[in-house]
Amino acid sequence: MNKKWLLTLMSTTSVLMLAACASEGEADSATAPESDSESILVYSNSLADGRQEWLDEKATEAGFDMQYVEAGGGEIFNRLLAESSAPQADVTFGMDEAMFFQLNNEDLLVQYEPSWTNEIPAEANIGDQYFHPLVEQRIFMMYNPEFIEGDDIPENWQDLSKNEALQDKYRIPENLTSGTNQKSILSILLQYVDESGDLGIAQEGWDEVEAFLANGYATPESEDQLQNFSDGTVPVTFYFSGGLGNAEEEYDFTGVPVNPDQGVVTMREQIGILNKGDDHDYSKAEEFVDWFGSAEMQAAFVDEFGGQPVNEVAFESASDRITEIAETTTPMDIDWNFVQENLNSWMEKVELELMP
Amino acid sequence: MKATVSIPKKEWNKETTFFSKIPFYLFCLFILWFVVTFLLFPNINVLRDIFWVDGQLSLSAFQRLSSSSRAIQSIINSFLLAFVLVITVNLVGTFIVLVTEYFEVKGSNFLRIGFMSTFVFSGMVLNNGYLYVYGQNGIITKVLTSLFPNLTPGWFTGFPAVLFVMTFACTTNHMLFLRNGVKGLDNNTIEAAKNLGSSQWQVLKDIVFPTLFPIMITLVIMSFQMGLGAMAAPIMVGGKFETISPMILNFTQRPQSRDIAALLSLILGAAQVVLLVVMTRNEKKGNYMSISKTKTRVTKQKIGNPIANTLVHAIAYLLCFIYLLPLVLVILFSFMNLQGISRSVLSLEYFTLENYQQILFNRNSYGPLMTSIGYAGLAAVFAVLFMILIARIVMKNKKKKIAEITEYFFYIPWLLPSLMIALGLILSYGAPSPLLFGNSVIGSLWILPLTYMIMMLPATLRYIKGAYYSFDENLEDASRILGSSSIRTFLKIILPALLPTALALVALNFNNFLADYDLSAFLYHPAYPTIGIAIRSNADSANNLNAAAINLVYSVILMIVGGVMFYLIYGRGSKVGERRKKVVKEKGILEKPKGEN
Repeated sequence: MNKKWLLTLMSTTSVLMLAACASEGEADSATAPESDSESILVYSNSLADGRQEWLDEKATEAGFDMQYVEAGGGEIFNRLLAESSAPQADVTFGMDEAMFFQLNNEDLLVQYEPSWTNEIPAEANIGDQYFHPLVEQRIFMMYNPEFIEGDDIPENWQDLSKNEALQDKYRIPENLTSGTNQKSILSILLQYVDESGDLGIAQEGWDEVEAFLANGYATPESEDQLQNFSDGTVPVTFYFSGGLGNAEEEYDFTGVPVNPDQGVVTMREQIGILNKGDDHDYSKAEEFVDWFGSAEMQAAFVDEFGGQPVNEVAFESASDRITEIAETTTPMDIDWNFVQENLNSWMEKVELELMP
Repeated sequence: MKATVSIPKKEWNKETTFFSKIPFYLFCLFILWFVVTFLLFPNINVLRDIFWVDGQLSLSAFQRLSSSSRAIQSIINSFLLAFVLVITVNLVGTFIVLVTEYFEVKGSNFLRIGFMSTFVFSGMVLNNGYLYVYGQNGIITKVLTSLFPNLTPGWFTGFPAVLFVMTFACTTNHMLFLRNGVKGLDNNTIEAAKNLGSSQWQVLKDIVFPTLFPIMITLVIMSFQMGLGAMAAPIMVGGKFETISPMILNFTQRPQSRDIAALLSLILGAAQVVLLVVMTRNEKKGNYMSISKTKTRVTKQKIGNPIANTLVHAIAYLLCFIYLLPLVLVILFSFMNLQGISRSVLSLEYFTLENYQQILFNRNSYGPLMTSIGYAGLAAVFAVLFMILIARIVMKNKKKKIAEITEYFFYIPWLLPSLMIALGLILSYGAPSPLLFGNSVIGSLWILPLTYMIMMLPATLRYIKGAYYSFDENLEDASRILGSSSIRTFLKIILPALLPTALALVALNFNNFLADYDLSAFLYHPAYPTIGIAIRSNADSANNLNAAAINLVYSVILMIVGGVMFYLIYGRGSKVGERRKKVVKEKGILEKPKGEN
């Protein structure tokens, strides 16, 4: 009887050990991606909700041996930076221009000219062949026409805080961790670029952001911003093109995107090959980039998961709703290099000083 | 009757030879290596990386922080919450332990289940549950608005809401450790006091609480820390009441703002350590062993005063209702579809099993779950075993400065956010390092469980130390006199006595890291994603509109896993352990007189 507690402890430990050993045992056979030049390790924030399974199936068919690390954009970015002394990933895709510029500044990418480069519009090709655009997302303000009409329809972001009737009726970002939320702030700041201003932005721009944040509605965790938008509680919000179609269907509304004079923030998810030293063999990674970025694959990808391919040959495959958004909005002219230099400081300033 | 008596210890050490101490010296060497490799070097590295910009110390974080009224208000809020929470949590926590273990209260088994629910029901999902009760469309809110039409539906927000949720959410430690303490009380002493005419209140005040003092100290420290580190409740129900932890996490994730994150974290950590030092000083002054040589189990005390009795019953059941209602609603809502969840309406119309099917029939869900169980489990077991040994050395050498310093090294993980500790490990051991015998951590399997373990150390050490204080050192001496080796003594006498606390800690640590996402995203091996990664992958709100529903289902599944583990490790383990402990006690009693001759 006095051995019983030992038995319990032992059995629990051994179960745990087994679980871990099972993991380790299998790992030995699949481990060390760098020693096996055939296997490609992809880091991406664009593998959620079935994308990874889909990609894996297609890639295996095409003869690639794949491994993945998937997490949010910020986490993938931080992980790539932290591992800079011994990069693990072969290829990364899904993050935006600003993040790829920073990766490149840290010398983490290698140049490569994919076979599909000439199918990319010249103005989208800003990475000097260190990184290449795949999918385009537009982040725009939109209103619910059932509840907003006439003079209340905003023409630009700054109109929101000035209209008494819209007090607490438009959504503001509740945090600046997500890319879409950050872009709502960028939409205002980038209208006030001024070299002599604080962090390259004129004081007026900071004031506008402060007013924007002070008069809007931050959605608490307990509420659902799309539900609020749909039922008119908060009939002005911001959203991204790739997700709008599904959201409209699920929540039963039709949003009208607002296209201000300066245009809407347009970001492009990029792909790049990680720098693993001069004597590393990049041929498999290059082959993967050629394959995954091709018009055929990109068309199939957006067909399955939504979004607007940057590749002109695949352009047609975007859904009707996305094409519609692309036609009713114009991309804002953004100097991404300037943005990546300042983005973090801007966000920090907003969080520390301007958020109510 | 004072329960604090110190018995002079005999000097056994002198008789032991140098050779028999070799394992001890080896272990000391191991401690030194561990402290340097995992606690000092990486963290110094990461702080240097953060605060040394272009070859010089950059303290602009101070200035940036001090010009932010939002940050300063958050710091004030965190401290306010910590101080108030220490009082409320300990009041509620002590009350629920006394009604389930000390006083005779009808239906205490049922009550116990209710009060223990926070063990598996915590964090974001717990707050979600509270919102289903008190939020805009919550059940209680509906009742209240029909009674008081002037009440705004969004009344449950701000400091009071955070305090309310956390007061009940943070009593887990009481139900685990204070409960162990109460169960270890000695009935004879209580009976003796009663025979001498003490009232029930006097027994509580002069016998029960003094014996429980070391545990209470730990609980004060821990509830203070939970208040300072509050994360889920301020995000979910805080509204304008913001605290510092969400800000730290946020700033840690942005490389340029890490100095602010580190600074904020150091402020919180320093407060924590100051409290710890003050409390430890106090603790050292006493010896908290119960005076009785023949311990018997506490029989539950009947409350004499009928009014008090009714009142205690009423409050106990009201509390149990507060604890259980959110949990029940979370389970019910996990069967609702998106419409039901986004409107917070429970209705058969919205009933669906699809979300469960989606997860349970997905074979890819099980691998990550097993990985997480393995990682969290191994880390929990090793953290507890390691800290038992450390606590033992610290307690044996209470008077030695070096032991005291060693102890404080293990509280270092309290000073920095977990992500920064992970970052320190990667920065320091990105390339093969002699400290790791030529290994590197990048791309390794064991870095993630190792980081879990490092994060578990401070709280584990603190609780084990608390448990050591209530351990009768005479038993140990007796065993040694009878010729047992120190290892045998440790395994046969000390370990069983510490077992309930140790098992509780294994279960608690396990549960805290089972669904981890932040560390996983940073460190997981590509071949072995953890359940936190899988959950995000299936329930990312940017990609999946149904994310809220999937999240709820995962939460329920994790609660079931946590509950089963809790039952296996703590429930069964400590029951068997208690029987074992009794046997040891009896043996000890028989053996001791011989030793003292």
